[in-house]
Amino acid sequence: MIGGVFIYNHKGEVLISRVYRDDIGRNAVDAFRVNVIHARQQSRFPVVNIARTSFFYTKRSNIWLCAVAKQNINAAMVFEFLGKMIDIMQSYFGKISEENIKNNFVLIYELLDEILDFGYPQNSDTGVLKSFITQQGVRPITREEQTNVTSAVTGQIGWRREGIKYRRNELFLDVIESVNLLMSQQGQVLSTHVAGRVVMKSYLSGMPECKFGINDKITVDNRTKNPLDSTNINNNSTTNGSTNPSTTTTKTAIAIDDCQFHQCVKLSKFESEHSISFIPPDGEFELMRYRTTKDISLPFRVIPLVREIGRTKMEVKVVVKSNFKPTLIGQKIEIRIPTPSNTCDVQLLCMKGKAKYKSSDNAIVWKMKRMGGMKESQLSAEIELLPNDKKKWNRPPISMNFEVPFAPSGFKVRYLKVFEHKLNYSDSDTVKWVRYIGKSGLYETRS
Amino acid sequence: MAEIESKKGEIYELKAELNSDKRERKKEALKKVIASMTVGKDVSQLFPDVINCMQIDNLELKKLVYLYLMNYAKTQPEMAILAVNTFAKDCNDPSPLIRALAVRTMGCIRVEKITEHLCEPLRKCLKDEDPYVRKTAAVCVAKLYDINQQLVFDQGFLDLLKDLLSDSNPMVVANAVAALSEISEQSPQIQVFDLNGPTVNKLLTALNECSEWGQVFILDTIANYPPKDDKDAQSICERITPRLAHANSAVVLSTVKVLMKFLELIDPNSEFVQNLYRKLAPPLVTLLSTEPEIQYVALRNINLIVQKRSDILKNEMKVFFVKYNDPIYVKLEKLDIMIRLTNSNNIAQVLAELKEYATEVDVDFVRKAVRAIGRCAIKVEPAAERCVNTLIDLIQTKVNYVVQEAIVVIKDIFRKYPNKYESIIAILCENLDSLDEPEARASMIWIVGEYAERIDNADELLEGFLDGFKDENNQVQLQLLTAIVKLFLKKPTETQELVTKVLTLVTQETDNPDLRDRGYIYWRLLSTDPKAAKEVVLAEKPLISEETDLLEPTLLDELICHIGSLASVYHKPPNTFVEGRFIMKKKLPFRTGIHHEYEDITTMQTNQQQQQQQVVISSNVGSLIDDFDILGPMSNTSSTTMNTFEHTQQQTSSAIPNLLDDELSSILGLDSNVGGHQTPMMNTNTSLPINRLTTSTGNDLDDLFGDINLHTGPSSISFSSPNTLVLPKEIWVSAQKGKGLEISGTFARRNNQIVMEMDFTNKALQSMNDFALQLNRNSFGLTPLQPLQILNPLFPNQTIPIQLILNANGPIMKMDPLTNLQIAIKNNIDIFYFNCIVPIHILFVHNGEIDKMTFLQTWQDIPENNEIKYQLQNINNLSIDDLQNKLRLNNIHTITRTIIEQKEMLYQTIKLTNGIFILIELKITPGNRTIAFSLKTKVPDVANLIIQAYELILSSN
Repeated sequence: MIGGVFIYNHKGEVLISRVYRDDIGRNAVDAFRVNVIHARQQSRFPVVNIARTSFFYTKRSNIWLCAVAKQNINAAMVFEFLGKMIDIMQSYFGKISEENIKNNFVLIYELLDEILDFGYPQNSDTGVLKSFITQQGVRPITREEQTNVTSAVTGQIGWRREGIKYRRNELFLDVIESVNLLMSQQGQVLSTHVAGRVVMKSYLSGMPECKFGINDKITVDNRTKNPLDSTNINNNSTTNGSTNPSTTTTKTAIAIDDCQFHQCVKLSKFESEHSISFIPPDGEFELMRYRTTKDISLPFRVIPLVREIGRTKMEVKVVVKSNFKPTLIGQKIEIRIPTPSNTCDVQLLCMKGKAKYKSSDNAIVWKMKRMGGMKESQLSAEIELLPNDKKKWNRPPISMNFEVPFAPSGFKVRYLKVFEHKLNYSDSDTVKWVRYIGKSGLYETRS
Repeated sequence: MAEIESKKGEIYELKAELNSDKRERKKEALKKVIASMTVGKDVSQLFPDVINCMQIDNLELKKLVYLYLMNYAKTQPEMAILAVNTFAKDCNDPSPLIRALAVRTMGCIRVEKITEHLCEPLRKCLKDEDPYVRKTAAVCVAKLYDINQQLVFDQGFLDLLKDLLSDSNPMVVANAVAALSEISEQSPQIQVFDLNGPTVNKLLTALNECSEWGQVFILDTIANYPPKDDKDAQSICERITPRLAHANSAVVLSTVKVLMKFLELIDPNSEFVQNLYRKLAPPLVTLLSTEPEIQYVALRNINLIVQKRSDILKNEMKVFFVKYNDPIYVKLEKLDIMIRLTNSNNIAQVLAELKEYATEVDVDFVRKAVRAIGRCAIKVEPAAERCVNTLIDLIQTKVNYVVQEAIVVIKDIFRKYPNKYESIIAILCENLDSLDEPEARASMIWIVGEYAERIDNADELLEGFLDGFKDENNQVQLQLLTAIVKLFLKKPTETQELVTKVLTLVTQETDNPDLRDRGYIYWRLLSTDPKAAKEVVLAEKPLISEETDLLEPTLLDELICHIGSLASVYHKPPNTFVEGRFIMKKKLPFRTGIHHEYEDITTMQTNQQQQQQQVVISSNVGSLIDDFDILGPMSNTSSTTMNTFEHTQQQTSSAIPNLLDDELSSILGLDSNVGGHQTPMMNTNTSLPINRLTTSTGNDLDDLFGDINLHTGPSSISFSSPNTLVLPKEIWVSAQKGKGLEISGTFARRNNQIVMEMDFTNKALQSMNDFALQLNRNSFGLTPLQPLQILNPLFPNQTIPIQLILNANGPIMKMDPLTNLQIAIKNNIDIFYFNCIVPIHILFVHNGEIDKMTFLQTWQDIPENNEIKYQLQNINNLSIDDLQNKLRLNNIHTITRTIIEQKEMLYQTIKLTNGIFILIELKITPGNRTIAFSLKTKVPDVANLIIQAYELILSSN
């Protein structure tokens, strides 16, 4: 199991060092600094074995987090744990920075004592941890509260404590999709997929049982057989302004390649009945992640045209087309067109938005605040090059960022029902909000 | 001085603050102490002051004190005892949080006196009413086991821990499982954890309810359960499959591990397996959209899965396409998987991608991409032409390393499809000047030689290379010699001058024996029988294989059992990078069709126990750094300084004369430069490359050597019996690690000498030479009697057995474990470092007998606390005579045998090569398989190794 956890600053000074196992000595702290942080050649793997000790590390801004082990331990678990540790620290004190870590080192030690025991990860749910490890010293908690804490930490529902009360029972669902695209120069889609997340913010009293329905092909097919499920597609949900276009136009189901759930979702029930049921943690959490590859409506298309005129001049023309309903509006549009490192001057002309040549990034950055559906815009640039650069320019792809108010995969929330038997509120008393956001993931067109 | 003063001052100040009355000041001071501790400053002097703070009833302060205690208790055991009372009090605190904290911390304090006091509270906490305390106590048993195993047995904690498997709280179950697994991994000889059907059932129930980490512990444990039959395996698979949708990638990978393992037991044609295949692919693909570090772990595992069951991901090629911003480690790994998945259906897409990658920035990645194109050509015949065209396009970019890499792969393509693509030779020739890497130069020269008849100016080209002959790398020189001879055989009239020039050069002006000998052989061949020369040199070449870089199947199977773990990331078995502890080798279960599987598996496991030898390869995976140091230069038979010795050595050594005796000796007789007369074989030779019938498949010359070898009588050292137990050879260096060189080996004791027996196998496409071996300093001063001698190059697909006699009089350095041996082997390609374990019984010398009186005297002289007791198992139920004989064969001498209280007593001695005596008493109760073993020696460090040796010898057949 994990033998120790170290945190270093960019200089390699150790900020936190917590050893769990006798086989990890002080020299391990130094070994990592010398061989990885200070190494002349940047290490090319996230796991390094130095003197028969394995170091798993990751970097956040300029902070190094490192877990050490001498045994053949579960590597996926170690990285998952490091990720979780980062999440916990961020939710306690914000950004992972040297200053924040130094200011909170007592808290970090306290957390590390709780979430790892003898190198075995223990309950690491932020909500529960926050109920008994606080920054303002330990609250004088009553015995009753303490038993509540321990049952929350170890309980079958380790992510939620009992006795939560809200005057207004409310929940928010955000369907956030990242569209990833790799398109060839000729406009052929080389690969595309949507990585979606359903983020839920729940402010519900008691221990509510929730049932979540989506327009997944399998579920929808099942539904025709099962009349109980088709009673009402929850119309109570108020969508705040931005509706999914597919709600009005198409009602087809989508094919989800794979999905994963927060630990609160009863996986065995999903496997057998294909229903998503769970008792949610309080506050914000990621309910579900999914991936689709079929029938993705790509919101934008970039058409590049690059001409090298001699050795000192280049002409670039980029056309962007928006490909969604004219009533909808895309936002935060940014297109990055890489330029060779020997660029000396760039003349830009664009029909819409602002374009700038950023020499530090070796790229032309073209920004548009918003763009309606079914529109087209164009940028042309003349690039002058210094002639003496021998190195061949390898033409990195043109990348694009955007945000659109619909789910490009066609994903749709069909219902979210809340049942709380002990307390006296029903599904219809709960206020529900659904929002769809389509964002660019890695959205690239080769030039 | 001033600095020390100020340090003192700092400590002094802290001391004052710690003793302050104000709680806030105390707390601040404690924080400062912990901060100093973190950066490695020694604040142990403050121990008493910190302990004093423990009394205060404040949880936060308490936690800081405990943190300090865990760090320094070992250095100040006397003082640490002061904390015991507080712990005892805390263990009875009404708050479960404090009870758990006390038990958790106590387990981390590795001081004997504290451990003693831990037992009672721990027992109570294991039965605590609060699950939080119970789950902490469960882990604490594992901590205690790490400190004092006996105590855990004596106090019956194992049974208490097993009881927790039925706990109502899933988290408690998960931690109990984790603790039990760890304990049974540490002591595989004792049946700590009886994984049976009902237990697994309990675990499966807990699996649905416990935390994500708990699910990982449980799944990793279930992976070790041997299912009774295919139905059992199938039902477990069904129950865990839903875990594939978990958001935590460790849960997913551990599930995949269990599925991959249990799939072995299920009929591969069943519908169930096909369904499972369909379910496995999507979660694996999803792992590729996680953090890059997790992606890397996933990709390394997918690489294994694809090699084992390629069907699972056969339709997912696209997801492995490299993204521009992927970290380099993700890119390289994706590329590797892409090539494995390439087939005639997707080749067009793959090729377009590879072409794109070949224009990227990272040199390693680009090279790998170019190589990949070559591999596609060899793998998918219909696409070969497109691949070649792509390579030509790349060569035209004139990027130096791209061109060189392309030429190396084109050579292989020519080998695979002879007489098909010679039209491109002209383009290749244009780039001759830009080649500066030996491999590329050698490849180009091979091409010119091979197709000399179609290249008009082949002689000019080769002559150009010949000008700087002496500065060339060995590999290039050999290739150039062969190429010119080929050219001469094809165009004898114009190139006589050239061939004479090169032959003169290699026979008279070179120091390299390989090169010179090859030169002589060609010379003789050409001057005696040009027709035969033609048949030999221009012989048809054997085909080259389609797949490369595949893991060796048994290793692959072992790694499948380790999916998700470090072993799967390194692609190495755990004993190569994990120290000390005895590690059980994991194997995939067999599908036998009948219901005997369970027995098979158990017998298999006992077999594994017998294969106790821990062969260890140092873990320099990729850029992984290792602290291995080899002192002094490598001893190398072909080093230039030794040239003068060379001739005399060759005359006395058996290899060359023997090799050339029969018909060829007449040729050699013309030249007295090389020992032409046959000399008797010398037994003193330490390293004998025994040329068994080798099926060589390299280029021309191998055939030549292979043929000659056929005429040689087999030469080997003959040994008189009796022999000690010799473990089967294990892979020390895999072909992947050794850049094509695979080394497997073991140790034996023959003729009272320690013999290191190795097989060198060349799995690369080119021959290897210039072998040298060196041992690092080690605990027993093992050092080769004579340097390693491998006179012939090792040709592709050839295996040569090596026996190297070791002396035990070399320099000594204590290793951990004691029997660890660090070895470096060099050849013309690289130096490879690895570790292996010398089984200690190899070091028992034959003259270790002492008389009864001396035995008695020595036994009494050694203090009582040096006595080590152990329960040996007489697994094979040997009779006492057999047992004695078996041990004697391994130089364990029975001094005397008596009967005391109806028990047979055997008194035995062992003497190690370094003169250490070990005295042993065996108490055998007739009819009982357990032997009471007790051992005394002045050097207790070796005791555990001796126990292992006994177990090994007794369990051997």
